[in-house]
Amino acid sequence: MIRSILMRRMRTMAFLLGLFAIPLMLTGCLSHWFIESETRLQVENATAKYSILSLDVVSLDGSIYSSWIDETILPGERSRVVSADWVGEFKIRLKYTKSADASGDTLVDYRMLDFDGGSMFLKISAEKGSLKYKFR
Amino acid sequence: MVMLMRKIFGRALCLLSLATGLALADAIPTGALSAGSAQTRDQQLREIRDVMRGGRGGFLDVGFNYLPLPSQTPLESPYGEHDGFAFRHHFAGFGSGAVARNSQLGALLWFERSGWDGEDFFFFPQYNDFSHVSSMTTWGLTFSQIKYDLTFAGGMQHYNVERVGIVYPEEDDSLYYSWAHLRWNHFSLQGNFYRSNVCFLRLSMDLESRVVYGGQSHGILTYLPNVDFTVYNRSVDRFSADNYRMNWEQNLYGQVLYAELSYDFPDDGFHSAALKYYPDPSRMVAFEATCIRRNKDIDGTDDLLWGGAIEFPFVRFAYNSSYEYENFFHAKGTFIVEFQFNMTAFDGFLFARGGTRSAPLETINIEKKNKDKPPEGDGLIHLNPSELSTSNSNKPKTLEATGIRYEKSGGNEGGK
Repeated sequence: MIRSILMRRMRTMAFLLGLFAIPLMLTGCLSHWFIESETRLQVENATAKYSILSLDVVSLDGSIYSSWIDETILPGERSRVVSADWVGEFKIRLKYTKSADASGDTLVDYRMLDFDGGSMFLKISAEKGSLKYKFR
Repeated sequence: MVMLMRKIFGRALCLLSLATGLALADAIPTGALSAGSAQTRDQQLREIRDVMRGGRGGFLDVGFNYLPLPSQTPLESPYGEHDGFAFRHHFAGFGSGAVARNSQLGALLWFERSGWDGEDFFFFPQYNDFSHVSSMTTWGLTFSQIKYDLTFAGGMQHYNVERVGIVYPEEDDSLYYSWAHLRWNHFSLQGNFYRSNVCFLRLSMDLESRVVYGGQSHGILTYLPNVDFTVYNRSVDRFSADNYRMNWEQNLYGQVLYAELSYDFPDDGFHSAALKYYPDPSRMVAFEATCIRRNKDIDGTDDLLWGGAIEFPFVRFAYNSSYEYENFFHAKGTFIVEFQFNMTAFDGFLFARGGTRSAPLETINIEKKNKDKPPEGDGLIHLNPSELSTSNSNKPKTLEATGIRYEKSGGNEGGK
């Protein structure tokens, strides 16, 4: 009697373990529901009189770079959405000019930015002569 | 809406990881992934050495690492830290059978697919710009002469590159690795070759006496050490160290408590040490405390890394353990779960790799409780059911063989 109850319990346990094993096997597929493995980035130039020339990811020592948004963004404009495999924390190089028509000397600004993945909207504004980056 | 839910889930996950301290995990250096293939070749041949101690029997191994969060094993590239997953899937099998008196022929296959990818997966990786996905297959044939306690094994190793991202040095498939293993009694010699060049040579002396291989269960002979000495050739293998490594495994108490020491000659000195407690000498369960000197070329520091691991028959938990550091791309600072199982069979003994006694697996004989009580009915299969209803009384029971017919073998029926 006791043995048969025990057997039934064992069988239930084995069944539950089996049931648990299936989603475990599919863990990769399941995690894709809430973990993004690429970043779709759009940049808005929210400054009044600066023009953005490009946004690149550079190596921490500055020796190599990989271009991400390669497009001139005039004040008030938005770039195209460009998707890339950058998910994590990277060093960003922004090339810009202090003019509303992309003329003049090219200036460079470096930042460490955290990209969570998924659709990201980066708003770049200028406050008292320095650039401010804000994800929205 | 879906986007919002994703964001919320993502944030919740980040908070969870912060709360459990997993976000503090150290990033995996790209160099560790590039050096992974040399380490895998070495490790697979070490495992083959252990399994071939008897020269026959069987072995089965399967395992994969499970990391729920992309912040546990981020990748450190020149650009920064990439979120993603290091992975390692492996299986191995060996089986042998008698082909003649005292001669055993066997075949073995070791396989591992490992690397780093942006997504968590089981079969199909994302293959992004920073992925490193490769596999190592080791196969071979074994021949054992039991009378002289002699084993010869040999085969090939194939390194197959699926994807090498933009942040790693170039790598190609290398199909021409080969290996050979010669064992006599407690001594074995192992070689790993690339075309006609030697990658490493290893001399092992497994002096410890083991019951499963016909040795002693206790006594002074069980306290003899297992020592191996390896010579690496860096000119062939750009990743392995051009040095000599010595491993010493010592039974400290009753084949349940062991100390391990690994030492590099002539320059590097101390490599790693471990204290391992196996509650049962079959090594199905293990508790490990380990210390390893980090690789200065790859990690940029040669600090000592202290850690530990607990291993059960189907799962292993590790934190900064030396096995994970060496075989899981220098992963550290995070809890690593590996679902794994391995079992060696030898002359009816079952034990985990390296075990010295059979696992305490009992055959439970379920005895009938009501043995004394007469069974219901007379326990006979009645050929005529109508007879059963009339035989309930104390009448002596008889069985009439009504179903058996005797046939004359006639001349035209051809016998029977």
